[in-house]
Amino acid sequence: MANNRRLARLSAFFVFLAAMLLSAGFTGNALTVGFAVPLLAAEETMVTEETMVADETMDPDTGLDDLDNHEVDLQISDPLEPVNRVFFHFNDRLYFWVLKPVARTYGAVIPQDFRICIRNAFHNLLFPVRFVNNVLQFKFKNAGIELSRFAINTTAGVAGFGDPAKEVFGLDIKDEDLGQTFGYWGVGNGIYFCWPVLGPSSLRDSVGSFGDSYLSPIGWVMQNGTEDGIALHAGQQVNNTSLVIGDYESFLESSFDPYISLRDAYIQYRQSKVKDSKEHNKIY
Amino acid sequence: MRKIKKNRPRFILLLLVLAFILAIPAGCLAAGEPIDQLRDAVDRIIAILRRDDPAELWVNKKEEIVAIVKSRFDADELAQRVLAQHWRSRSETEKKEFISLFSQVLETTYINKLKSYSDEEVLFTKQIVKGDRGMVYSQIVRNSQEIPIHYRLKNNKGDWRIYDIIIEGVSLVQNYRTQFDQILKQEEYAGLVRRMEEKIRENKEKDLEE
Repeated sequence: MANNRRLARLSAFFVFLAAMLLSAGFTGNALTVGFAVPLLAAEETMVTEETMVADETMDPDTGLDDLDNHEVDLQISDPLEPVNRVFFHFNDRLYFWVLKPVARTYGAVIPQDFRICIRNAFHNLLFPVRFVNNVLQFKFKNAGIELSRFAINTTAGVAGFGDPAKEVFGLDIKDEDLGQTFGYWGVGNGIYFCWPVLGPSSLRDSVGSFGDSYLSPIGWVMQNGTEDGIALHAGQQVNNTSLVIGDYESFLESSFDPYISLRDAYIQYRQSKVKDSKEHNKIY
Repeated sequence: MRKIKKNRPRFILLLLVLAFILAIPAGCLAAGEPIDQLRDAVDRIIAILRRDDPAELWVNKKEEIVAIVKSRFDADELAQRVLAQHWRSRSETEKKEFISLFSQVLETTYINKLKSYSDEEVLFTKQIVKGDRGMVYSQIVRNSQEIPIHYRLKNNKGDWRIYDIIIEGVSLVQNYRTQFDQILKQEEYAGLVRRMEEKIRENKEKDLEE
């Protein structure tokens, strides 16, 4: 009963988020009117749209920008910065106090090759997300590649532990998710979130992740039994973290304000993924 | 006999041309091709990292690597792009100071990371050149995952120098630019200088600890 109520509350929250996203993305200036005003009155509001234009002035083939100093960087409005910073700090502690020691011990026990196999298997399980989102972006060839990858890796790759689709057939991953699909459709980032445990995201990508969870086997497990789902998710995190220990530490060392640095990196990374999506589409 | 004599001037000319070509240092031959220059630099760094002499100190290796890296980076361009709109309002001395500080920040932050190099493969896939600008695409394979790394380069009299590195779509210059913009707005230029000096000191201390 308690679980159901929590789920209902969560869904309501996401419906609210979705409403905000849609108004932000499709009606442009809607961000500055109506209910979004108090949330989005930050000075960087609408930067997303301006930078879309700035982006197009860049050489489409090379991304070589010109030398004047008038470049406009893609930025995201962050009206929730104080709260986000608290969660950023929380995640930071979570990494150093829990995730890292656990992943270290786990990494010491399980050989690296096997951990890579487990990462592959989790990746293979998420095939429906990539397949559906390729279709939603009308990339039927890529969807076909993902389908072939799933068929080959699930059988010849023994339940996805191996990746013969790539090693033998040269089929590369065509990673797409709902956040990228929204971006492909022209939806802007909205505002920035740093979620506890889940980490950096934008409004668009948060809604996307929520939608994707319905296509994810981990999500299905989560709906049947929250604890099993969380355990599975945690398992995946520990396994994948064990393969990149040291990366977060390097990131911290290289940055002057890790919170800002991560936010910028997240936005740049997602933007490049959405852009990739668009460019690839030209070929098919 | 006569025939050979006739051909001699041509033969000498050929020798001269050969001598001329051989006299040109290898670096110049690669001129014009950013991907070759970059590959050459990376190969040399990897060769240094792979040198397996237990008696050799990291400091020595580091010195050699820093020299190679410095010859491939355009520190001025990099600094200018990181400060962006704040560049113009700085005096000449401040500009010089910033270039030097920022180079030191990068050097002390990143060079030591190379210590953990463990035979990762670096592949250079393609280049795009447009006037004096170039983009070189590369990939580094780690734990059977490919990480795309792109370099932005500027032609400096036949010498292609890096002014930005884009790792998985994230531009290093933009990332610092965003952070510095915030610091400059809140703490002015003096605050930024202080922070950079602090960072360099921290990095050096860490270096000594290891």
